[in-house]
Amino acid sequence: MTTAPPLGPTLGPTLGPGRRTLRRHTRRAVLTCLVVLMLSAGLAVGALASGRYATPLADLWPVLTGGGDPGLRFVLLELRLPRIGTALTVGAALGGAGALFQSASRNPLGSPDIVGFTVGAATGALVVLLVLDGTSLTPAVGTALGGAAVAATALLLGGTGQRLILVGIGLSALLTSVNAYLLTRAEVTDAQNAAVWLVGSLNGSGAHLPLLLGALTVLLPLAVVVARGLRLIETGDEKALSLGVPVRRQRLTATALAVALTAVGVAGAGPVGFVALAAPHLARRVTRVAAPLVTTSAVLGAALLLAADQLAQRLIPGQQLPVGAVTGVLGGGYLALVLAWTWRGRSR
Amino acid sequence: MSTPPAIELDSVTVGYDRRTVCRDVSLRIADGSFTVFIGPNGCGKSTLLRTIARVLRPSEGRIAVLGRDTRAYSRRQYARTVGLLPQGIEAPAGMTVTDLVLRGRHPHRSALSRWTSQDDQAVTDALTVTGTAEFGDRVLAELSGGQRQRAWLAMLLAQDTPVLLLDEPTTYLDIAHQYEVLDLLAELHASGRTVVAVLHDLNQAARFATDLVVLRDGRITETGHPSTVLTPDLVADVFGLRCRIVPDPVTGTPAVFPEPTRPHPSLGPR
Repeated sequence: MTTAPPLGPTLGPTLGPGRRTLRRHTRRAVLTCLVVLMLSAGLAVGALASGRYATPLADLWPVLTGGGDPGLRFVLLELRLPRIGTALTVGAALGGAGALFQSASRNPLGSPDIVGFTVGAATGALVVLLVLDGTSLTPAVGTALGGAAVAATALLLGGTGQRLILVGIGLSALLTSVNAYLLTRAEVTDAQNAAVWLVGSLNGSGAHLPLLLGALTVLLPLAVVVARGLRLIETGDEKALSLGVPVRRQRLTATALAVALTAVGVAGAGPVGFVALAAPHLARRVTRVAAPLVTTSAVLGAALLLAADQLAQRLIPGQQLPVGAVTGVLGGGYLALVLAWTWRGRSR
Repeated sequence: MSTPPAIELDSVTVGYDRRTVCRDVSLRIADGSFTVFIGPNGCGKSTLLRTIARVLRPSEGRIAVLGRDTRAYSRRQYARTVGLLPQGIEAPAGMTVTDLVLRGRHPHRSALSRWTSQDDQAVTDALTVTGTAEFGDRVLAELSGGQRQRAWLAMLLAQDTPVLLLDEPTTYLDIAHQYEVLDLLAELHASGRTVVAVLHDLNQAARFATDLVVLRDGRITETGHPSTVLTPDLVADVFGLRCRIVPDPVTGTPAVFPEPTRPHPSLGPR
């Protein structure tokens, strides 16, 4: 095979711009992750210490090391810790899923919310709660299955990229009316119970934590590997193909993994909106790196959801808001601001 | 015959879904040539280029690159041999020039290998040759169209392939930047690479190409050196344009001057 002759002047063994850029990216990503992890740890300690029964920090240590007052042990280890753990796990799963979705669809708005996952999850919950009476299946399984089913349908019908998002919007519209119909047929108490599942909530969560955490530890490293190939798809399908990337296969794998990660998140807390959309956005903004930042997004998603859940528990005294309501308001506002800002910059 | 042609198409038929665009095309592109595809819109020149790039798969016929059937190459091997600059390409938001260019090294790296000094050298050279090193840390979206196109060219050069395919590399650029890109391609050609480009401007094609390939309705109507291929009859026949062809006063290559058309009778004097 003929090789092309060298181009231009050759430099000595100095640090080239390529390696410098790669190092800078790694440094920024590691730094961001460390800072966010520290913030999350702080938040977690705060969440552990506060609540209806405020716990002085000094009392935390004995409990965590296996001693302390039995009543306090119950509150901390059986109520607060699992909830914090679930918030972190669900947030990480959604953040990682969002990063994959956005890269695979080459669309900054690509997210599980937009391919119809959220609405499908709601349908799953409603069917379990209202049609199957919620006895044989828990709503968690219903939401995960419903969401995954809709996302899979969107994939089959829509393929990938822009078309997937448009098909997702169509399916969402269809299922929204199905959901509305199911709610009109339900008893008031059932409907109220279901409504919480439709927003996404961490109230009373934590029972499935080991399972969720196990799924996350399998899926997240896979997502990191898959994201390496997605970096090239971001420069366009044709370009990626010419660089030897199996574009179709890569994209299908990434979307399937994103759906699985979303299912983990939704099984843990219901269809919590906007974390999957906002976490990758924030990751890009903070690290200033254009790449599918799965790890950074996951870490940021975990911190975001934990913070949102803490906010949800104390925003209105004496009342626990579903965390989905908080992420919806914050995330929706963020999205509107980002879009307005981006488009203003573009029209200038 | 000493060296095999860089690219050889043997009765290639290709299209999208069920619509055939090019039918039974055979063509030899000489090693080390600067070959330019010309033809009216929709004649299949981009389709043919994308087929050579293995973005599209021919439904019939075979293509050989450097004497070897393209199907015999692995994805990675092919990406080390043939590079493509697609048409109207857009980078994701927030990507810097160097970040883009280093992705061109993909076919030279395996999943587990670290960034080598050879990768580093290729990126440095690509940035230097294209004159993009000075704004290597800037975000693509902030650059002018000409600078951005040079960044994409740098990415293509970092791929370090003996064959370069370019689909309308001068579109959307102003005239000075068009010539900047073409001069760069001429330099790459002079350094021994085979350059194959789709161009719209006949004068530019005539000036830079060593070989012209004229396409019309998915078939090749003429191939050869610009001075023999480009005639008023061919332009009238292929493009439906009456013109005069005179040697370019600077380079002596053929230059096309369209004949003035009479105004339409319905546009009477005011």
